[in-house]
Amino acid sequence: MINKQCYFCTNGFKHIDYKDTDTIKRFINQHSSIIKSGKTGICSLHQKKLATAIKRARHLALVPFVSR
Amino acid sequence: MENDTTKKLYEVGYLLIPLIPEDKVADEVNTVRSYIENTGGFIVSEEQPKMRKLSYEIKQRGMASKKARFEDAYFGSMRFQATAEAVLAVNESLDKNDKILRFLMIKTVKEVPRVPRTGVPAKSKSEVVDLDKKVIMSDVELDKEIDQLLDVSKVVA
Repeated sequence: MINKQCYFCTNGFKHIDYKDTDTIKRFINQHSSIIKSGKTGICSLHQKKLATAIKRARHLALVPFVSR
Repeated sequence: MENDTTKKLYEVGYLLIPLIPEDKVADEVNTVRSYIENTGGFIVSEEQPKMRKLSYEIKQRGMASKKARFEDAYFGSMRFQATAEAVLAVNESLDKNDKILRFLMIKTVKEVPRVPRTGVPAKSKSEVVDLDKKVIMSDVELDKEIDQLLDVSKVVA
């Protein structure tokens, strides 16, 4: 399903915290790669912020790099 | 207050090795806190370390020969204000600490409360309904209004 509205804009997120793994995990697929914004409907500003948050979370092993 | 311009807000997240008993985790937090406070930093807020499962195994730094690998660790974080030079010093001392598996130092901004975007379409709908009502109510008044407008146009002409 393709969402038409940015999740972070509608929920009033200004910054995306890397510690907030529950939110972050919504935007990674079964192989733990970042889902493209075309599928999730996230705006380009929040997609950039989300990508940094995911990469930070991966560094601290809060979110996996890969999973099978 | 003069220093506030040079001091910026930073956040450090760290993973402590799981071999530390739970009563002694507070001591480790104090050492991390001392690193920051000794260099003139000011701690704004902190999150106490909690044991959690890691998404992948992490090797202990500097212990490659022992091949110590951990599947869980204590994860904690701290927000603090400090100068750029102080942060470098904190980074170094965190790097040397063997009980810290891994850490992440980032520059952050003040936490902004979330304001969800709700009720906007509902408002616009109600306004439209109001406009419709006015039109229905002013069946008799409409004639008067038209007359008034006509009068005004006559005056202008």
